[in-house]
Parts: sequence; C-alpha cells; structure tokens
Amino acid sequence: MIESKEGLQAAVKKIATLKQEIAMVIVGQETVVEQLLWSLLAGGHALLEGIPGLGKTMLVRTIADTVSLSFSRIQFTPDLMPSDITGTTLIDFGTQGSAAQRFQPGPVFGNLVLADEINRATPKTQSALLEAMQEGTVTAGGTTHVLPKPFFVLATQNPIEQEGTYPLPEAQLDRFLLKIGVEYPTREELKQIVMRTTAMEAPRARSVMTGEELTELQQDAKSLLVAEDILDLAVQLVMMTHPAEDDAPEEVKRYAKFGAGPRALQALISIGKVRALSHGRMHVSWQDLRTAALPVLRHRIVLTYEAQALGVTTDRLAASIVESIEANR
Amino acid sequence: MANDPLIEQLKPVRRRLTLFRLSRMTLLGLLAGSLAGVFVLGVARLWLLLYASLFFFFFVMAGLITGLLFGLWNRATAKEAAIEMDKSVTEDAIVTALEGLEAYGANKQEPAIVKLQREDATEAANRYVSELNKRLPWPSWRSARVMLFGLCAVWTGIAIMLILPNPLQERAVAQAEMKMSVDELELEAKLIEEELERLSLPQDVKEALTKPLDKLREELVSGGLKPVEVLEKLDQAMREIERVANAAKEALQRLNTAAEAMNRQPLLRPLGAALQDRDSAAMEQAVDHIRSSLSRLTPAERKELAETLEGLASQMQEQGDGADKLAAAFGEAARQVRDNSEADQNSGEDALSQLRNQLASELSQGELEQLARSMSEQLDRSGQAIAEGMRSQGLGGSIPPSWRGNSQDGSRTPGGGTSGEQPTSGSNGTSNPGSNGGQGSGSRPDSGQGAESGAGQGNGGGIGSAGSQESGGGVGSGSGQGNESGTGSGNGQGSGNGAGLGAGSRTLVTTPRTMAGSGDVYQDGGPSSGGQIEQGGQSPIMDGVTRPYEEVYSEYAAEARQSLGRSSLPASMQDKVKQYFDEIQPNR
Repeated sequence: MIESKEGLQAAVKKIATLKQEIAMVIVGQETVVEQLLWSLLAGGHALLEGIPGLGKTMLVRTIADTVSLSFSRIQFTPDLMPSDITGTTLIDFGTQGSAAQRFQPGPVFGNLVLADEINRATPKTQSALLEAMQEGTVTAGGTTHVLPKPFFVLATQNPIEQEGTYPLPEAQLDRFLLKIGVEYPTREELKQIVMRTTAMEAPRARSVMTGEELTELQQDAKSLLVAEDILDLAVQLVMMTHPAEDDAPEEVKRYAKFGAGPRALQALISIGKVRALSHGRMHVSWQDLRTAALPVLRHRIVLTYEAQALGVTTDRLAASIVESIEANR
Repeated sequence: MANDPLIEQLKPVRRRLTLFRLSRMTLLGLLAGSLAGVFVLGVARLWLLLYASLFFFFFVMAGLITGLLFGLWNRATAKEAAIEMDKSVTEDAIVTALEGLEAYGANKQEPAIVKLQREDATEAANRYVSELNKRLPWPSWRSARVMLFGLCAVWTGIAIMLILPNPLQERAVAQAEMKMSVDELELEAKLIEEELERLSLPQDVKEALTKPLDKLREELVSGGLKPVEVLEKLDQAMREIERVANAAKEALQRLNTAAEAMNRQPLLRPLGAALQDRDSAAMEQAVDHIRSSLSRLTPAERKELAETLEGLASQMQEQGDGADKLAAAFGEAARQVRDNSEADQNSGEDALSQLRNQLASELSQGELEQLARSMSEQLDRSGQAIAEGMRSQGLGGSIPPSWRGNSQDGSRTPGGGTSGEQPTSGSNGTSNPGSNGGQGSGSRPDSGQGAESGAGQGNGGGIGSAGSQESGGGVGSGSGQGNESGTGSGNGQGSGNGAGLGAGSRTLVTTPRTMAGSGDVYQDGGPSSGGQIEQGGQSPIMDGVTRPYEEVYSEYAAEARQSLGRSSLPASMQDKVKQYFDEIQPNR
C-alpha cells in the first residue's frame, strides 16, 4: 500500500525493472508485454490471440522467470481431458499390499499457467480450467485443492485454422481480464529476433521480483485513488457498449448484439490503477481508462451477424466509444 | 479547505474561465438580440409596427444584458477549473485531489495517499498557473469566427434596414398621432366636464352639453372604432355641442336686447348695465335697488316701470320658445309692480327675485357658450388630426365629407358668416363685400351715430387677399367673423383711426358645416366703455363656428412644430410637414 512518495517510486522502479528484464528476451511487443504485466499486477487472467510463432509461449515463460513464479504449460488438444489439467486421484499400492488414494496435481497447479491454444480443447475441458481461474481452487475426488498464489492463466488462441476448434463462450471469455492481440513483429524486430535466437547463447531472463513482491505491487495498485468523475467515465465506457443505450454510438447500436458487464468495469478500474502505478501516479486518469478500454472490452462485446459479415471488429466499436466520450468530455 | 493551496491555485483559472464564458455568452446574447432586432425591423416593413426602432433597441439590449447576466450567473466553479486544468498536463490529478479535499476537508485522518496525491496535484496546478497564458490562452478569433461572422452579417443587415427608409414608417407615425389625438380628446373632454360642473347651470342645460360628450367618451373608451367611425362620432358630438352653444348665444342676445331696453328706463338702467357687463353681483344689487325703490315710486313711475317690464316680456315672447321663462319672469314682475304696488309689495319682491334668478341663469349662458365653443374647437382639432393621420395612411378617400375641408378644396370654408362686430358709430358707413369672402374685422367707435350696411358674400375656397380700410372715429375694438370682406367707409362722429381693418379674401376653414351660408351682416358688438349697442342685419345661419384661416393655420403650424421637435419623427417626414405648411400658409 502506497504511503509515501518513496514507496511509489519503489513500485514504479520494480515495474520498470520487470519490463526491462523481459525486454532482454522478448524483442518488440512492448504493448503485449505491458498489457500482460497489467494483467499480472491486477491479479487477472489474460487471453492472448495471435498466429503461431510470435513468441507467446516464450513471453509467458520469460515473465515466469522474471517473477520467480512456477510455470506450467498446457497444450490444449481436442482429446485433452479435464483431469489432464486439474489432476487426478491415484491409488498408491504400498509395499505391503496396502492401497491409498493420492491426488496427483495437474499442470494447473502453478503460479503461471500457459493454456496454449485453449480453443482446441472441448468445452468440458475448457470449463475445468475456467472454473479453476474463477475460484482459485480445484475439486477432485470430493476434495477441494487450493491453487497456489499468485495464480495466473495466460491462455492463447489462434485466430486462424478455426476448423476443429471450440470457440470460448462469452461467459467464459468474460473471465479473462484482458484479451491481448499479438501482432506480427516489424522488420527490425524480426532481425533482432533472429540475431538473438541464432547466437551461441540464447538470452535468458533473470528473476527480478519475488511472488511476494508481486503481491505487494498488487496491493499498491489497489490503494490508488479514483475520482468520481473518472469512475463515471468508466461506467459510461461500459454502458456505451450496450446497443440499447441512448448514448451509445451509432456503430454500437447497429453492430453490437450484447455489451460488456460489470466485470468489464472492474477490469477497467483495476487496469487503470495498475497503469497509473506504472506511470508513477497516485490516481487513475482518463488516459488510463482509454488505454485499457480496447483489451478490456474487445472480448466482451458480442457482434451481430451483420457486423461479422461486414468484417466489423469489436476493436472498432470500442474505439468509437472512446472517441465519442472524448468528444463530449 | 478554502485556504488550501490547491484551491488558491484554482482561482486564477476560475477567473479566466469565467471571463471566457462571459465573453461568449455576451456575444451570443448580442447575436440573439440582433437577430430578434432584424426580425422586428423586417416585420415593420411588412406591417404597421409602431415604435419599431424602440423594439429593435430593446431586443438588442435585452439580448446583450441577458447574455451578460447568464455569463455572470454561470461562473466557473472550482471543479470546472480543475477539469479544464486536467485536460492539459495534469491528467485528472486536480479533479482527484479536489474530490479528496472535499471528502476529507481539514480532517487530519485522511489517508496518506490522499494527502500525497493532493501535494502532487498542487505542484502540477502550480506549474499550470505559472504558464497560464500558454495553457489557457484567450480563444483565437478562429474559434469564434462563426459567431463573429454571424454578428457582422446581422449588423450589416441592420445598417441597411436603418439606412433605407421604411415606407410604412410614415403611416405608423400617423397612426400613433391619431391615437394620441384621441387620447388628448378624452383628456380635454374630462377637463371641460369638470369646468362645467363648476358652473351654476340648470341640470338639463348641463346634460345637454355633457350628454354628447359622455356618449362620445364611452364610444372612444370602448375602443374598436375605426378612424372613420371616430370622425363620424366626433362630428355628431360637435353638432350637438354647437347646437347648445348656439342656443346659449341666442340666450345672450336676448339678454342684450333686454338690457338695451332696460337702459331706457332710469330705475332699470343699473340692471341693464349689469347685464351688459355680465356682472352677476351688480345685477343682484340692481334688483335689490329696484325692490327697495318700489315703495318710493309714484303711481306714474310705477306705471312706467310696469309698462317697461311688460314691453320686455312681450319682446322676449317674440324671441321664441327659448325665452319663455324670461318673458314670464318679466311679465310676472310687471304685473306685481302694476297691480299690487303697495299691498303686495312682498309679492313684487318675489317676482323680482324670480326675475333675478332667471337673469342670472341667462347670464351663465355666456360661460356655457364659451365652454361649448372651446369643446367644439377641441373636438374639431382632434378630428382634423385624425383626418390628417388618415390622409397620411392613404385613407383620404374614407374620410367623411365633413372632415375633408382644407384650404384647397374649400369644402369646409364658409360661404358666409357673421361679420362680427361692426362699427356702431359712424354714419352712412358702407362696406363692400370682399372678393373672396372671408373675415372682416374692424375697430369701431364707441360713440357716435351711424350705421353701416354691408353685405357679405362668401364663396369659400381659395386664398385671397384684399385690404380693407375703414375710417371711423372713436376708440374701440372688435373682431368679427364672417365672410364679409371689403372696404368699408364710414364717417361719423368721433375721430380716430381705428377704422375697420378688414382683411378679406380669407378662406375660413374648419368649423362651418356648409358652404352655402349667405345673408345679412350683423351689426352688433358693443363698446367696451359704454357705447350704445346696435344690432342690425342678420348673420347667415351657419351650422358651426367660423374661424379665420390664419388662426387655424397658426394652431396647426404650432402643433406641427412641436411634432417636428420630437426626435422620433423621421427626417423625411419632417421635410414633408415643413413643405406642407409652407404651401398652405395664408400669405402664400
């Protein structure tokens, strides 16, 4: 909790150091890294969407390395069973013929879980993970097992190759704090990637933060101030995603089927606070909200068929909402 | 909280924002008021709209003041100043700090982060204020160019409308004048009514005068009358009032006749003199003197007195119905004097008292006539003003015939009239009619014998001039009205140069109702210092009062000058009025 300017500066420095360390390994992708850190510091889960080979797994692993968190990776496939994620109860036979049940934790028992290509698993398996994300526990064999803290799920999904996939339902998408788009690297970034990965020694991030420090940063972020006006703007941002709302932009009224819910508002404020902390401020500003708006809202707006047919994206709708608010501010 | 450094830093921003708002609102108000003003000026060119300029001025000022007040009313608050500052570099720090300040105030228990954040915000505000001109500069003209261009366009339109004469303006002014005339008429009517109350006249006589006036006022007050109808009502009222005036005049003439007869009887002479002087107190004294002298009279004297009174009674009876009461009073007095000279002395006194009362009543007819004439003249002036207003509005064709008269068409000019007082002295005086009729006025001697005969022929219309000279003797003055003009000559006793100055060839205007008046000339009037009064001839019977053109002209010219003095009268209108009065001046 921030109680002095020195405390604030220390928090800012920690976050900056974390970024720098990640940047030692990950070339470019500053926005993705930053948004992932927001998610981490806000205590939420993130969904990364991007084509294969853009370094998503490496990014998550690097983050795990820098924060000294245990890392698990689950490759989602159609035949993946829920127990493959959560773990299963085994019967241990003793040397003297005795037998006892033993819970074998699955890969979800980690601080940082990478759910790779989550949309390739069946909904049943997906929901097993999502339950763990929401509750922070896993129930197996009548016993509830608490997941380690901090617990983050960073799921990825491939926007192409949609055959044989199971798109996440809206209710489950809503559980992800952010949906982060991973873009293709630029020319310069590509060159640097090649240079780094084909050298004798691949760069490796070192741990610059403990799990406890991460938890402290989360508490620091939560203690930041939010003015009533800023809160009103956040509410307005969310409300304007609803097509039935009078103030909603025409595009939203036409192309949005459903809007965002209360979790979006929570996410906006949480991310806003984290961003404010990373910028050394003790209060949330409109700039924090407008920056967080796209990753927070893009997976919470459901498009109409017309919008999908016309290629209208949720990003476009979210951007129009932000512009509308700024114009009237 | 009020002394918090953050609040202090907000004050200059608040002031500047308030100034911006005030400027914007004032400009908007001016623009709105100007638009309304343009609308009013435009409407004034389509419909008759009185005081369009005043309305225009009112709307512009109202818009300006409303904008100013609205700007003052909506002064920038601390929160608005904070929001404005946050738009720049402070990133919502000021708003957040202000909210924390409002939430915790001077409470020492405020969370540390709130205090820290406020300190940061205060520093940011300080930086902002130190660069206030850069951070919050005066709006460039580009930001207000739509409003400024709009204002320029509107005021260009206003300038054009004000420069180009409004064809309806003259009519609007004329309408206003007409309304003013009606208002003045009502005011004058009230004054005359009050004056009438003061006179000790019989109620029926008063009612004869006030009834048409009341009726007219009721009709005017009820409103809804068109100017033409107002003129008709005015005409009706004038006719009735002039009838009363003529009746009063006849009564006065009867009284003069009686007075002249009384002058031939020694005991009645003081009474006759009092009647001629219109002196009520002297009249009462004279009656008392007669009453007290009765007991001392010889039978022969009593008989002579009675015969004189009987003669007066007979003379009054010959005058017609209006003199019945006076004739009866004279007869009763004569009978009591003759039959009961001593035994019924009291009755004789009663008869004398009745005679005195009757004579007093007849005397008040003089004031009644004056009042009625005054009222008639006022009505006439009002009517002329309304008629003039109608002409200005292009409604001349709707004016009733009786109000169309002017110096040009002569429709309201007399064909004849009373010649006024003519010399009562001088012998064999003659007067010749003027070439164009008109008014003759002359001085007359107050003594001497002689008669003047003359005939006036009036044929109305036109402006003419003629000089008249009359030689006569004596001192006196008199004025006559009528259509006689010409030179008169007379000789007689006395000397002097007050011979009648007859200015003939004048068109008489306004009051006569007909053009066909002709008739004998009155020889009337009396000396102001005891000369004998004679009356001869018969004045043409005119339905109305004859007034000299010069008098009418001078009154109207004076009113016109007053109108010209008003700043609200347009210059074009002023020129027209001047030109009009130049053209109709008597000596032209």
